[in-house]
Amino acid sequence: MPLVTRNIEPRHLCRQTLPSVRSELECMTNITLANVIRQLGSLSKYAEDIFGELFTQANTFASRVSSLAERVDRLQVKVTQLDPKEEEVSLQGINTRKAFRSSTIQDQKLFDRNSLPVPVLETYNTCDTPPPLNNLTPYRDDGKEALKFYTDPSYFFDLWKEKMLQDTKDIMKEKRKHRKEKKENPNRGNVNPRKIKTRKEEWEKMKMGQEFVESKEKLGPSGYPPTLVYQNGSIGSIENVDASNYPPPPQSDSTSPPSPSFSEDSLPPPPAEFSYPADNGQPAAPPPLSDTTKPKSSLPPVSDARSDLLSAIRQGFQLRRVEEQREQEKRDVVGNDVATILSRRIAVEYSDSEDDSSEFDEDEWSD
Amino acid sequence: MVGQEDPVQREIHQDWANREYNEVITSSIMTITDFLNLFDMSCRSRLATLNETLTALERRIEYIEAR
Repeated sequence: MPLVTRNIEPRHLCRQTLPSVRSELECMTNITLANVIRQLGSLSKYAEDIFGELFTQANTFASRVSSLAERVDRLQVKVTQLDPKEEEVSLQGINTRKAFRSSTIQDQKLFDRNSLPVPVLETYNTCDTPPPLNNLTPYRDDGKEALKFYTDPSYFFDLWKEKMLQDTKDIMKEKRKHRKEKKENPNRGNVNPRKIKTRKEEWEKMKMGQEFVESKEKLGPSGYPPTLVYQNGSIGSIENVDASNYPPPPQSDSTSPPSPSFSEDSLPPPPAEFSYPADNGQPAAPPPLSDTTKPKSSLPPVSDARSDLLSAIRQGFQLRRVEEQREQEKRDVVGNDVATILSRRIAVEYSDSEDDSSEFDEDEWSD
Repeated sequence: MVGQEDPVQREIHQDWANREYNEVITSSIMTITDFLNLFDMSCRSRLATLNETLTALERRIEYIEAR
């Protein structure tokens, strides 16, 4: 529905009830002329608006141009200074210098309430405000704002945020899997069948949710625990870790894993297990803060007996709720300043999906 | 009868003249608004191209400065 930006009032010149005067025609003319004058008034107001906007834009550009001119001058001076000197740059200089990083600021919050042009904002203000449902918020148990059930302007952003978080997790899981499998079998010939299988298993895992915990014991080698702790988009660190510490594959003792044998010395401490059910039970909850200090190569102990595993998992379930709350609070604090981090996350995601040979991800998650 | 028609005719004639006058004014108002809109759009498009050249130049300068 097209919205008119500026509406000139009054819209109709002659549609009015006439006062009972003798000379109706003259009366009409006078009324019409008066309305014309009103229209001219509103027109001039909008004209001032338009020119004001254009003026501010032109001003910003002028300032940018002047700063650019300054930089160009400085560069010119530098270049003329460099010419007569010998070239100092040696091969070492070329290699040791940091690679060029362009600091491109992405435009975010383009269509925010603040960027609404003034006349449209005025039109918006003439609308009714939503009902004050937030007065009911103290009576709610789950801590959400009551107005969010009626109208929530941040709904789509939150949805997208969750989707992005999930995507990064999935991509990192896949990467870890690929790397692990590569390291497991350096001499494997057929990569493709294995990849497809893991993907299917991943989807099954996501479907199963909490059943995953039980199926993990049965699945054996495919029950791959994403205990690699990570914060927002820190894929680089995981790569380092994987390179340095080859993590033993996590498995239950029932099936014979195709993976190579692990050393019992590398048993990670139990808390590492707790992040595992948390991760799979609720994909939206990142691993707890305490685990960030743990080495990222920590995987659940493989050689534990089933009873130990079950008890550890049960404790994990109990711990999970507390950690969940902590994570929620932490995320609330970080809040929507993370919008820039999110946009960075997209960049990471798309670079990952390019590196990843799986078109599967792109097909599923891109529009 | 002729006496009655004359003043009425004159009034009607006058009314038509007034209406034509109003019509002229309103059509000129519409030309003004059209001109304003056109001006606005053309200015914005030119400023946008300027913007793009500015950002391209800025990036190039950053690159050169880094080297």
